[in-house]
Amino acid sequence: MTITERTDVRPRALQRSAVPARRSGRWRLRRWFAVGGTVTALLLALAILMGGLALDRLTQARGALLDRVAPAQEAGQALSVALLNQETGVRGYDLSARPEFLDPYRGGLADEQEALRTLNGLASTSGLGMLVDDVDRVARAAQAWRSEYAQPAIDAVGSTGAVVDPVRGRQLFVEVRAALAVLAGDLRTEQRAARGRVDDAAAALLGVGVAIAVGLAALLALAAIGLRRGVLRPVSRLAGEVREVVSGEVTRPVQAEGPGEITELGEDVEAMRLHILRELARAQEVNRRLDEQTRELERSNRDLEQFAYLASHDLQEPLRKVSSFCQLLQRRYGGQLDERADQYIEFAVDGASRMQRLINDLLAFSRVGRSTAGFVPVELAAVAGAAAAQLEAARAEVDGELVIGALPTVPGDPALLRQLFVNLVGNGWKFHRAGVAPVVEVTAAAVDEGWEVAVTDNGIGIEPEYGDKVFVIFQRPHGREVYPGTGIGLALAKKIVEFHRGRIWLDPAPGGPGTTVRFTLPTATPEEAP
Amino acid sequence: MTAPEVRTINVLLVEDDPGDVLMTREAFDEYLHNHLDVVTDGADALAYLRRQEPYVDAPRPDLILLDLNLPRRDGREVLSEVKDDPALRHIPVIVLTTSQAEEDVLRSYQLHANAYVTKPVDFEGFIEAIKQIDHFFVSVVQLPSGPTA
Repeated sequence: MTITERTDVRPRALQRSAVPARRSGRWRLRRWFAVGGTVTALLLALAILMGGLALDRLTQARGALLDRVAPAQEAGQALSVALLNQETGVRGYDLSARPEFLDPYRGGLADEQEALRTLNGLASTSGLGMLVDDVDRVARAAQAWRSEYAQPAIDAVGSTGAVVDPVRGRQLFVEVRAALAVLAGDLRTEQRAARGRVDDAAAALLGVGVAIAVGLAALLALAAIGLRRGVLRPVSRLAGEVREVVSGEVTRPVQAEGPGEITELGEDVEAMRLHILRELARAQEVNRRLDEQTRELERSNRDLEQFAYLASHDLQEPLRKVSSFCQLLQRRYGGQLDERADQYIEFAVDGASRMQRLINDLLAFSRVGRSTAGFVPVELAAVAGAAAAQLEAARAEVDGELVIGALPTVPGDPALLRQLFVNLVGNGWKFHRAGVAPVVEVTAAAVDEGWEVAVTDNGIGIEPEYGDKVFVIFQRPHGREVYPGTGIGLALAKKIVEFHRGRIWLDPAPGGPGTTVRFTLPTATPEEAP
Repeated sequence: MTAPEVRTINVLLVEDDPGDVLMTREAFDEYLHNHLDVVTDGADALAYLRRQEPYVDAPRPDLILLDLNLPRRDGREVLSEVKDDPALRHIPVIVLTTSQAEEDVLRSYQLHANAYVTKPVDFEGFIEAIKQIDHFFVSVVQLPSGPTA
C-alpha cells in the first residue's frame, strides 16, 4: 500500500462564470461617470454662456448709459449754455457796443459747434438716432436766430441806421429754447430708458447667478445621492459580506448588487469563496485519505504483531512436550539404554531447550508495542536497580561490578525499560573478557531531545564492521560455543528504544576495550503511546 | 515424640492435554504421595466435584489444579462456578496453565483463584513447581477440613 502525499498544494486558477456581469438595466460606473461628466460639462458651458450673455447685456447697458447717454446730456447742457452765452453776448454788445462783450458770443459759438459735434457724433451711433432730429432742429433754430437776428444785430452795432427787430430776435430765440427743451426732454427720456435697461440687465445677471448656484447645489446633491446609492452602499454591503467570509462563514454565498464593476467584483469574490471551499474540501479529503491510510497501516501492524505473538505462543506448547518428555526419557531410561541413545537424547533435549529460548525471545520481541497502557514517568534509577537485582545471579557468577550513575526520570513503559537494562547490562556479564572482572557502567547526559544513556562494559567488544548489524535480530558475531545467547538481546533493545521514540547505536570510539551502547529517550511526551 | 504425620491429600487435576497429564502423574508418582485424580474437561470437573454420575463416589479434593483451556466447559467457567458454590468454594484452586497473558492472570485472580502458575517450559522446572505447590499447600498452609457436605 502506498501513501500518496500532496507535497505541493497550489490553488487552481479561479473560474469566473462565463456569463458577463451586466445586470439588465444597471449601468456600469464608467458610463455613469461619462454621462455625469458630460452633463456637468454641458451645464457648465450653459452657465458660462448664460452668465456671459447677462454680463454682456449689463456691460452694454452700462456702456450705453455711461458712454452715450450721459455725454449726450452733458453736451445738451453745454449746447444750452453755449446758446445762452451767445444771446447774452449779443445783448451785451448791443447794449454796450464794447467788443469784449462779444467774447461770450464767440465763445458760445465755439462751444455750440463743439457740442453739436459731440451730439451729432453720439446721435449717429445706434440707440440715439431719434436725437438727430432734435439736434438738427436746435442747430437750425440757432442758425436762424443768428442769421436773422444775432449777426445783423452785431453788425448793426456801430453803424447807424440799421435796425434789427428785437421781437423777432426774441421769437427766434424762443424757438431755440424750445428746441433745446425738446432735446433735453428726449435726452432725459433716453436716460431713463438706459437706466431701466441697466437695471434689467443687472437683474438678469443676478438671476443667472442664482440659477447657477441652485443648479450647482442640485448637481452636487444628485452626485452625492448617486454616489451613495450607486457606489457606497453596494460597496459597503459587499465589504460586509466579504468580512463574513473572512471571519469564517465560508458557506454563505456572496452577492453584490449595484453597478457593473461592483457586481463583477462581487462575482470575483464569490468565485474566490467557492475556490476556498473547494480547496478546503480537497484538503479535508486528502486528510481523510491520509487518516484512512494511517489506520490501515496501524491495523496491518497490529495484525503482524498479533500474528508473531500467536505464532510464538502456539509454538511453545508442542515444544514443551518435546523438551519435557525428552527429559523424562533421560531420567527414566537414562542408564538403561546404550551411550549412543544417551547422546541422541542429549542433543534432542538441547535442541528443544534452545528452541524454547528462541521462542521466548521472539515472544518478548513481538510483545514490545502490544501494551495498550500509555507512558508513565519512569525513574530510570529504579528500573536499573530492578534490572540489576534480576541479574544478580549472573553478576555474582562472573564477579562483575555494576556502576550506576545519576539517572533521570523519563516517560515510558517501566516493564520494557527494565527489559532494556536487563539486556544491556546482562550483555556486560555475558561477553566479558576471560580473566578480566567485568565492569558495567550506566550513565546519562541531557541532550536536545531529552536524555542520552550510555551502557559501557570492558568486555570483548564488537568489531566495528559489525556496526549496526548487531541490532538486527539473530545476528551473532560470536560462535554459539563461545558465548551463549540467541542473538536477540540487542534487537530487542533496539525495538524497545524505538518504541520510546529514541535512537540506539554503538559508540564508534569507546575509550578502551569493550562495548558502549548509547541510546536516547526523548522527554517530549507523545500524545499517546504508539 | 510422635513422627510428623505425613498428610496425604486428594488432588484433582483438570487437564485435557494427555502429555501434561502424564507429566503431572510422573511428578506426583515419583516425588509426592498424594492421591491424584484426573478429569479431562470442564463439565466432568464439575460433575466430579458435585459427585454426580459417573463420579458419585469421588472423594472431595483438598486441592484443585486447573487448566484454563478446556473443552466443553472452559477452565474460567469451572473456576467461577467452584468459587460461587458455597459447598466448593473453600477448596484451593491453583490455575496451572501455559498462558502467561496478563489478562488471564488478572481474570483468574478476579474469579478468586488461590494461585496462578504458568507451566514451566522444561520438565525440571515443572517438577520443581509441582513440588513447591505440594510443599506449600500441604506442609506450609492450613487446609480447611471443609463444610460437611
